[in-house]
Amino acid sequence: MNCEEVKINLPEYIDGKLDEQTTGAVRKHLESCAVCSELHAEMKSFLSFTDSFPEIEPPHGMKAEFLELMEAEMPKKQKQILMVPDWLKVAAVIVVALITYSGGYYFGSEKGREQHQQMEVVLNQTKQQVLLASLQDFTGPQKIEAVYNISQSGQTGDALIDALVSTMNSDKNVNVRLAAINALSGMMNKNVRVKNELIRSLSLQENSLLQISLIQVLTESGVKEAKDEIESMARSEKTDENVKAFAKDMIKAII
Amino acid sequence: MTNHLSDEQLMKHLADGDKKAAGILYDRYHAKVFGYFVRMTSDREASRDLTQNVFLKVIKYCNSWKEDKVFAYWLFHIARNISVDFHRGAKRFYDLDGEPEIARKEQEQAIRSSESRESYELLLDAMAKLPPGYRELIEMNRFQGFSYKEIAATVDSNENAVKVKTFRAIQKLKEIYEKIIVE
Repeated sequence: MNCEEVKINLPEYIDGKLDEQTTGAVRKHLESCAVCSELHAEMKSFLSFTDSFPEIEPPHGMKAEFLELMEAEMPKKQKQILMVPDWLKVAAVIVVALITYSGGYYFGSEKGREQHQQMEVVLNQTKQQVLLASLQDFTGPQKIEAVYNISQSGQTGDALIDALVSTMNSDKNVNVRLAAINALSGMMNKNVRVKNELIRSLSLQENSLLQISLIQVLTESGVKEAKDEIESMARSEKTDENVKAFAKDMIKAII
Repeated sequence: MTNHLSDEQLMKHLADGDKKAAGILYDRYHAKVFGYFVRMTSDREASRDLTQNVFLKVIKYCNSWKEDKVFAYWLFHIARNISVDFHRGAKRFYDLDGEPEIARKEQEQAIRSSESRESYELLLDAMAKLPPGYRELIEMNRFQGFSYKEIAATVDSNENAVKVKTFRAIQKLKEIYEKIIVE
């Protein structure tokens, strides 16, 4: 080992972090080289001083200040909108399902249980149809509520996702699109298609608010596949300056 | 109850909305993060705000943290990004001001004005005079205890280059420190 190789290994040698073989080689060199030996002694003394540097005491009151800031920052639990677009249809199915279920339970029959399972399927299908219909039939705030109802329903079937993607990319109302982005973001872990649709939508949205919402949703969920698209947006001349700045900041979150 | 949990387990609790987990992580790391910013910026007041900012980002991005990442390195990565932004902002401010030299001299004068400084404060002065790249390597290797491999991953370099640069950074710091003592 020559002097240059020994020098760059000195910090680790002093810290005892070198492997046995390299440690032996450095030691052997130090025994025979006065220049490196002196450098070693000086560096050991200096590092012992820097390593004894006491922890810098933070100012008083920082924790309390942080807890206050945290309260303001922690996401509020999403307000659940209870309205279902067509109560009569849903209520009718629920009543029938309950009667069937209680009948099956009461008699303990296999047939009752089968009927109950069938009714559960019907209930889900009907509920989905009602929700989808409401997405197409109404406008503005009603649509937003319908989208929220879909997100609360826990269903992630293809028909629902098709409806939400179409709403996200083509609804005339920005707030409705925003609600669709929000609903889809909650489905990312349940359906792999959703993630790709959200990434694809980045290039389709022209409204700054929607672009920012998509960037936020994708980066905060750590979707690395979105990195190229977001970087491309940050570079594009067409992109609004605020969106560019936001994209650059948020891309750091995809670590 | 959650006090004995590892950092990574606490992150899972935080992702589930457990605010106590954030408080415990704050207790464990805020002094280290604050010390990092003081050494990097020589500005205690700014370091306070930057430290709070780091932990707010931990909360904000807790869902993007992956279980295979060591929390301490992830935290440092956030702190590093904030530090870079801070320096970029400071540079912009000086540029807009049009008199960067005056601003720099005033800062140096402020540092020198305190009498009877202890040797640790002199070391802080020496740190402040290091080129930012060297300062960062010293910070990671000596004060945060990161290995060359971990530093290489953080600064997007290779282990051998980091090894050589860290040696040079230590040498430079020692040289500046000794010069300050003589003055």
